[in-house]
Amino acid sequence: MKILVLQLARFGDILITGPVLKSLRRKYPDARIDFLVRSKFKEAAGQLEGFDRILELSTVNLIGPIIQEEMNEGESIRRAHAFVDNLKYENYDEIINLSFSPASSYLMSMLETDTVIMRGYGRHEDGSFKILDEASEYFYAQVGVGQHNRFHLINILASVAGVDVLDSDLTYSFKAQTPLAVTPGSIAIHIGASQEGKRIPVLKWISFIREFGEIFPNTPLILLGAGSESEDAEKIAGSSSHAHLYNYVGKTKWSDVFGVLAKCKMLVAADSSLVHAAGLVGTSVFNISNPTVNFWETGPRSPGSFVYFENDFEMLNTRDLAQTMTASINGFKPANVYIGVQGIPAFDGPMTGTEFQWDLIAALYWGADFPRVNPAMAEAVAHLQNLNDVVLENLANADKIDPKILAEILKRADDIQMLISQQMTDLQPLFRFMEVERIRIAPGTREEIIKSMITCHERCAVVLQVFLSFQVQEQKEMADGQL
Amino acid sequence: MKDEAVHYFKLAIKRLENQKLISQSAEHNTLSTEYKTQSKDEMVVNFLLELLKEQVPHEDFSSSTR
Repeated sequence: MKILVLQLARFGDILITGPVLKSLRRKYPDARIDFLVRSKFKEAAGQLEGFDRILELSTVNLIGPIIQEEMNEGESIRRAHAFVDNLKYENYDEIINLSFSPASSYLMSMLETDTVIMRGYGRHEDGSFKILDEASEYFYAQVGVGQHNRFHLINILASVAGVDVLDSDLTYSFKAQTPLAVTPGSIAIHIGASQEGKRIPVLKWISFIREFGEIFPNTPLILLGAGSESEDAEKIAGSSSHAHLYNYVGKTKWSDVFGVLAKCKMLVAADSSLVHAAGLVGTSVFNISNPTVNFWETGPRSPGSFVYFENDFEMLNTRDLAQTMTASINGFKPANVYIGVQGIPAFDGPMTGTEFQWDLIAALYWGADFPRVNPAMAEAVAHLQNLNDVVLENLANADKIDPKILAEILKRADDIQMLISQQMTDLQPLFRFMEVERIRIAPGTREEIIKSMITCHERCAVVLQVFLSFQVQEQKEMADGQL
Repeated sequence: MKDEAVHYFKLAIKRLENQKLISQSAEHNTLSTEYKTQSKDEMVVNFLLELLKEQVPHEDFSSSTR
């Protein structure tokens, strides 16, 4: 059996894929597993286990001929064809796209054959978006900032790949090595992050190191980071009077990073890729998070990890941060942190404002009871049900309706649903669920599409009916004095 | 990314978008467009376009996926 895993995203996503690769290897011990990543991230991917061969997608090679004064798009197209043909030549039995990106979806469409099993995002033959499995449907509909998912991304990627992640998959057994001097028990600090919104200001790091040093003057601190973060690291190191501060920013290979983290007692970081590297070597993380990230989706999974949440990093109270971290190092659970646990979500702490939406997701996707809604919401759902019935009725009579008029009716129905969704934001998971039901409709002849649309709206009708029946049941029980 | 590089990326994106021979019938599920299969070249052009757009992350490029 030959399997290709695509991970065309960045460092953090590649490292999050690590446990999935390990699970895949456990499920298919004799399979040939190839791992396709961008050339830039090949070294990081090389630290992972569970595959036989790394394949590279060189963006520079593919788009290089177009981004110069004498544009040669023909050469780029030729190179892209050659790249795709080389992959197709391998005759994979299964191709798993864990990237969730438009580029990867087009690549998937070009690799699709009648026999290969495809998972993740792809494209229909007309170029429209295609979701190849149920876990990816869930990702599209419910995952990301502003959504209400509570599963960790590692588990979602595993579901896309069709495997279960065990606790033993989260940590690698290899002994990471580095020639860099690291005193066991040191604290590593990653000062950077991939996005501006996730970065802690340099002055805050300087202040935090000073506060921490007052409590633990003899604990070695090791700064880690990429070359692009060297300037900030020098400012931090230059401003610190900590006697045991080592600046390794920009001076490490990925193997060194894993080696350093393996020897450290803890990593302090702000939702950066090193959070996942620490997880793979089993080092606990003190993760400082803000609302630009859903930490319960991408936070640390290594035992003993904590998440310290601050809405605005400019307002970060570094004394409180240092004291909280001290408490966590000493084995206490400070009141103001989320602690990593086994469960859903993977962190224990208040998930304010999302309980209803999470219950709604549970009802929509795995058959839990629908949550109780207020009268306005119940009325909105009843409107949706009526709208869905009207669409179904028109689709059933499609052969008697002028195609342009039918298209107009469907558009009007979409517009009304959009208006309801704007009014009823708490019902967002339901609207997202229904949107994905629509996306599942494949291109085809008019008759084929109408048949698929009827199936789609019948599925929505069942969901809406069950949703409303729960409300009626609850009202009845309330009237009977049972609730 | 340097301004000059951004300029070339934008030019390349514009040129490739002009090259797209057909519009995607992404709205087939509203019955408002005709269905047409994309050729291998069209798929490759779309693939390259998306790779280009990723290089200029702060631009507001609409996309049918997340």
